[in-house]
Amino acid sequence: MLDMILSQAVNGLVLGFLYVLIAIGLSIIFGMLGIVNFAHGAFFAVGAYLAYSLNKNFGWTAALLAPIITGLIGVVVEMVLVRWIYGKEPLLGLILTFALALFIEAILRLLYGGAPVPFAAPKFLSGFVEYGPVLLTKYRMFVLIVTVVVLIAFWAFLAYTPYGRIIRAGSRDPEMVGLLGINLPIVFSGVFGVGCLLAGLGGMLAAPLWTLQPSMAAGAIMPAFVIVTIGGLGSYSGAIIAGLLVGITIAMTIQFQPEWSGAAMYILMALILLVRPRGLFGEKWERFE
Amino acid sequence: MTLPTALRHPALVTALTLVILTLAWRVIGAPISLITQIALYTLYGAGVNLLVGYTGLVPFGASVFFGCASYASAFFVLGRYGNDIASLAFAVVFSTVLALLIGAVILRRKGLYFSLLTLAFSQIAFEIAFKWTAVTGGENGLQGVPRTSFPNDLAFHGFVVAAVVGCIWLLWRIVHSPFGRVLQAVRDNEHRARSLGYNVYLMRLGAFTLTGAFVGLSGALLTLMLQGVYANNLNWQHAGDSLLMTVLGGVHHVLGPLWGAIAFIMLEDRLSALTENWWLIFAPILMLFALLSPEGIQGLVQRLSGRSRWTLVRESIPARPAAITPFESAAEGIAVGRPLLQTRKLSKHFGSLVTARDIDLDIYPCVLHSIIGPNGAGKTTFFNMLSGALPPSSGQILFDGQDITRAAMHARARLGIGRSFQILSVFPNLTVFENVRVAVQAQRHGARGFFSDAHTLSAINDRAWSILDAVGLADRAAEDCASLPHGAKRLLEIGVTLATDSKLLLLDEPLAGLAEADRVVVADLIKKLAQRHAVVLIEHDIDRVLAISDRISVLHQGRMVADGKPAEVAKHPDVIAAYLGAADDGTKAPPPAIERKAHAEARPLLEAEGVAAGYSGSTVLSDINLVIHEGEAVALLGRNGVGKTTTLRTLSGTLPAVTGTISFDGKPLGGLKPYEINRLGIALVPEGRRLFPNLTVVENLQLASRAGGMNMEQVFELFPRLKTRAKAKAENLSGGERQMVAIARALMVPSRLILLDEPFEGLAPTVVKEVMDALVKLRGKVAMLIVEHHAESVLPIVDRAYVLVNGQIAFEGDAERLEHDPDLQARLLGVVQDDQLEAMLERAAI
Repeated sequence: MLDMILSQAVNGLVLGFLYVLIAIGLSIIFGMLGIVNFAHGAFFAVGAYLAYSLNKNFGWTAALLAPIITGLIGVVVEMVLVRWIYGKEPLLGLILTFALALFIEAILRLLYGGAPVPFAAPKFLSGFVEYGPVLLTKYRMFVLIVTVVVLIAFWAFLAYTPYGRIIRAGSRDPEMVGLLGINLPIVFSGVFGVGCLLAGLGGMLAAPLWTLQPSMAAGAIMPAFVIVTIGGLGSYSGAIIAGLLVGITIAMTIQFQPEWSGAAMYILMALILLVRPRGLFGEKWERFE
Repeated sequence: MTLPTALRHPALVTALTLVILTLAWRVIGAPISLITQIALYTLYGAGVNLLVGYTGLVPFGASVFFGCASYASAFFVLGRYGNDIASLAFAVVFSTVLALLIGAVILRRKGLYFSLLTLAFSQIAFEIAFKWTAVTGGENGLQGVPRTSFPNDLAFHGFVVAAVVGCIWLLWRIVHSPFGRVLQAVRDNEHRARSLGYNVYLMRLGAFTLTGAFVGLSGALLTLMLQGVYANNLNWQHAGDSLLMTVLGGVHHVLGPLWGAIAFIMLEDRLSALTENWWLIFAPILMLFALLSPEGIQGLVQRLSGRSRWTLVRESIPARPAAITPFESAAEGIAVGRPLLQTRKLSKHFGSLVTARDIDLDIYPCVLHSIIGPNGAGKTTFFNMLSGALPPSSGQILFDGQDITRAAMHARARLGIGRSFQILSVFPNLTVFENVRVAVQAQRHGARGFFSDAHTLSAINDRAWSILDAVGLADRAAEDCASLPHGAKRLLEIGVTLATDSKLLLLDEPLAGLAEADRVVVADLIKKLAQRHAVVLIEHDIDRVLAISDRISVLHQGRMVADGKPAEVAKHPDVIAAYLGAADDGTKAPPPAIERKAHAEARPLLEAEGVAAGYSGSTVLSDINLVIHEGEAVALLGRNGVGKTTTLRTLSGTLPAVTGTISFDGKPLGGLKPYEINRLGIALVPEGRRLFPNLTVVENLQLASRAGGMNMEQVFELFPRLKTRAKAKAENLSGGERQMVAIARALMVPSRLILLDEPFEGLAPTVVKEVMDALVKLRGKVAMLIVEHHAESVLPIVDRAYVLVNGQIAFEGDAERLEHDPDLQARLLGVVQDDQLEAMLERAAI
């Protein structure tokens, strides 16, 4: 019993870290651009499908390019569409990104068909590992390692690099960043691109775990919203804690009350928001209220 | 013109449109269910738009009511509790109760959190519906719902159309009712609505519940139409359908949901016949609409025909009475000899910072009592304590003999204390008349009444007309507030304040941002009001204050330094010293010795010619001409509110100049973005410093650093104190340290001109010296434009000075000349001299 709980908890951690990866991308887009990106899940799906195609045609090393290409697509989308709605009514951003999400899903359906597509993990990652009572697939172990490494690297990027400084500063006062001579339009495109890159990376990693179908976007965007809201809009550590909380909650409900696994994270979100209106670590930013 | 108006009634238009579509569909022989679907989605959208367009709330998950009511209706009929029509009633009741419960809980949250919470509830409902197969049929839903009351599809269709038209009629009545009118005020300006006495939370809850009822009905009708119920409408992908349709049709139009439903459902029908992947074509259409026509289909059509008004409510206002009753203030009949408001030793401190010290003040009825004082004197703090926005640390406030020191804001409003706001606070999307009427309604009727037309409440209308006449806006009553010029908006704002039946009016900088002509008009109004009310005024326009006030109190560093008639106050030595900047504690550091070079031969670096600028309609600057030479230090002086910060904003590119040209090193700056202007060599040290609080000192500097600017060592040489605080987060720095970082930040880039906005504000004298020393070291190396209201502190270190008075340059010359001419200083910056004062008072008495 304990073995099962521990193993499931670790599965929950894997899921949680994956969600955190997606949520961080959503959060920096929120923080800097002030946009609710409903299309974030669609970029997740794009990453997954790109990984599939690249793997099929050029092997799994090529599949590692999928997140980068997703990021570049994000930059193009920002320059062509998203930048026109900065500062306008939030409802317009909602409609635009929502339509964009369904548009990308429709394109994926066009290119790959609506049916699920099989995508197996690379051969060298198949099989299990055992650490005491915990039993885990090798691929899940790999996902766990990669996401943790990426999250640490991203944190270091935010903390120590000039661009990271710009993102942190811009989430508090984008106008002042511009007054310091920093080319804001390019920064905004870059931030959107980085957010999409993280979503695409999540997609690439999740592809062998989840069913690869155009509607997989929903499985990414909704947890991302929940995590960003629970953790607090604009909080990096909040997103991590919230992500792990959601991941473990879902894993546990799958094990013990599977019918509730779908609703579990929403109930968690509703409960937390009612007690702490700005999430666990959220700050009072007029932009979101 | 009653016939065209009746024809434009939304229920009639909806009925006609649906009937025409029905006939067309019958003629071409297509199934009528498509039009039925359009009808009930119109109702869905209209219910959602009650929240979005009228109340200003965006529910991502209104589908929770749509879906739950669908299931409720199915359960009712399948469980044989009654027939199909009874199930509609049941579903509506169920949905209303659900809305009340959910709303009571989530309406405490605002904005995005509210929106996401509605989505969460919809998803929870979806999961329950999808997984609880035993009860809800799970994935397959429930089928076989009998529709016994209707012999055929056409009969049912007729019923649906009738129901939808009836609901639109009902909604139209609701939005014109006293309750509906308040919703729209809350949408436009929640804070002002609250300050008028409306319970905003209850208003929103009411709207949310009504939305639940209407959306619930549409969901139940869907069940009857499909004769079954499915979970997919609760899912997040369909949760947005109603919002999409409404935005597509136009959220600011009552018929928006109708056009949106027609477009959406027709397109879905046609496109899905072409391809299963119909979003491929539909999504770009939606995106184009979001980008090009934010006001939706109706907005697009309106633009083509030249109109651009919202059509959420009728345009008309109640008829102007033949003879408008003159305005009678609630202050009539108050004993004139006794003070109306008294403060006793009123004090306020924030930690060790004291902003108000033992203030004793008596305010009498029918007296215009002004409070003036230099920047940082504590005027706004004092006002906030009087109005209840800020609790005092000690002392008492008595109103009409009653102690109100701890009374809440709305309680003071009810007692008769009215307040106008420094930043214009009106309801921009309502008409001028409605702005005042909804304020009067708060005093008389509240938000009672969901059904009657608010414009038939004649007592309220008459009073609104009286107030509009009193402020001089009776002729503009039918105009939209947003289209008024700034001066008229200010008059409207005072009108809204008057509607609160106040005996005491607290007016916070009512002349701010007004052009000269408007100042005269507003000042006249205030003087008239003081004949019947007690009026307390904070203003920076000293000349006008001296001219119109009956009594003046002067605050300086939190203390009252003078209180009496204008003539006495103007001559008071403490007052003159306060305005011209002599340090209160008697210890003043000797000004640093500097060498002044005439820079006039050097090349002009920055030239501004004929520049005018302002904010959304208000003119702050007019005809500004400035020249700054290479390496020169120039001061920009003036009292508060004259436009000094606005000048810096215009020079740094944050605010576009309305007219005139600015050129830097010969290059015109017009149209350049702030970061481009910074790259040319102009750096800004803004008011309030604007450091990034989450970054450390070093990080703040690194962010700004560019090749050619100072490096860290040079910065620490200039500001030795910062070396010890290098790793501290900016939010933990003291005021002086922040100022140093802000200046250093501007030096990290190769600047040729640094704009400094009040660099000594809020700094202790020793810190001021440190900063001043640093600025002296920079002299000659980089040009500086220093904005200050405190002439004495900055004149010793600059070469030339400009003085701004009410948005225009009143003086330009050598700093030395101004420094050694106290009369000149007094004239431009302090209170007025005797001879001019006499003339001013004479003029005012006319």
